[in-house]
Amino acid sequence: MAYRSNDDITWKHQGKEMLLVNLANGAYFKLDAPSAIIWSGLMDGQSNAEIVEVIKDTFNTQGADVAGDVKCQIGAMLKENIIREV
Amino acid sequence: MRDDLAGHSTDMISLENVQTYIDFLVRSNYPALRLLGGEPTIHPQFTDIVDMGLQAGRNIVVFTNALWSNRVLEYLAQDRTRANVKFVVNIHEKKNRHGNETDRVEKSLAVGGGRTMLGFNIYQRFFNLRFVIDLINRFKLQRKVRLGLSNPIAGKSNAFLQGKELYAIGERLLDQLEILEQNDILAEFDCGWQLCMFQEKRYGTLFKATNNFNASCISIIDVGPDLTAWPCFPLSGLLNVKLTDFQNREELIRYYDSTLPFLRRLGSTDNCTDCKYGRRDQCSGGCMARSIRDFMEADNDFAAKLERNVERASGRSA
Repeated sequence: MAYRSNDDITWKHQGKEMLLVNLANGAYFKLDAPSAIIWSGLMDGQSNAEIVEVIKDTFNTQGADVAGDVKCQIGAMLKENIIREV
Repeated sequence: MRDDLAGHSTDMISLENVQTYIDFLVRSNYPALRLLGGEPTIHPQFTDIVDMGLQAGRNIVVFTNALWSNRVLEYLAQDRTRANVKFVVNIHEKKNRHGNETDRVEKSLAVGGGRTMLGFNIYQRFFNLRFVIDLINRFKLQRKVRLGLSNPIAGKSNAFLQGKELYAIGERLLDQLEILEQNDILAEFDCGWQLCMFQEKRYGTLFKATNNFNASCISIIDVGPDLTAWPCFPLSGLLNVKLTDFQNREELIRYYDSTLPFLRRLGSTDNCTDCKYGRRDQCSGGCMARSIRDFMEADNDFAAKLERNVERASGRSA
């Protein structure tokens, strides 16, 4: 499954975090470092599995359900209408 | 608030376009014609432009380096320009002036006198404003200094002060403003300043040494020689429109402010969205071009998205 940003969403880096803003209504979202990696991965066309690997390489994720967390975060982004499936 | 006729290239505005712009100001019920450059006084028809503004009942403000030709000096010394032509003279420290610049500037200051406010643009970390005291006293200039900060131009490459440098500048500036204040000289701030440049415990100095310090960001509207308009100089690479597509200034500001406040509210630093001064609209978080530059670096489609949203939100999209 591939995703792209909603047409009105733009974003910038804030250190390791990310700030997203909806230019149509001014709503903004702050993504923490793992979520920022998910966002960047989705915008770069990475698969869920690839994103999971990047997160595992970046953070100490021992014992965590990284794949489940990534799926959950993508679901939340879809629900907030900041990304859409393509 | 200002509305500026700006020439940022070597292009010279035609008198026909000047008249179109003056008509726009009159329709907007806007009292001032502000001339910026480059250097507006080197326009071969500078005196005609000022005359046109005066005839239309506008107050003229010339933003200038004060390196005036004899012809301009003589013109601006005439009684008929005295009442309604004012100057903001952008001045450098003596060490940064070349050749006979000091002599030429001082000749102009002698003509400008009380019609003149000095302007000082901070573009490096180390500066010393104390030299303005002598100039203000000797030439009986207005007892205030307009302070600008060197900011990025969104979408273009230019030298500007980095975020980290701003904090050191804030402390140095307050030290110098205290000395100016002791000499009855107050500071006026151009846009692009942010409260967090200064330590909270020194906000009292900001109150005492300035004329209503504010850290706000607004669409001031600049207009180029071909009557292209943009929200402000740091955003001159974005949202360019034709002035003639708008009936008046209010309509043009409404166009820009359909969407830009969303970005303004985010400020320019990583901490702005969590800042109480931002939340309470006491600070816009510095120059919006800093933030927009970051968006443009992260999102290649930013400019197109912004333009589309401004068009849609302002009701001007096809």
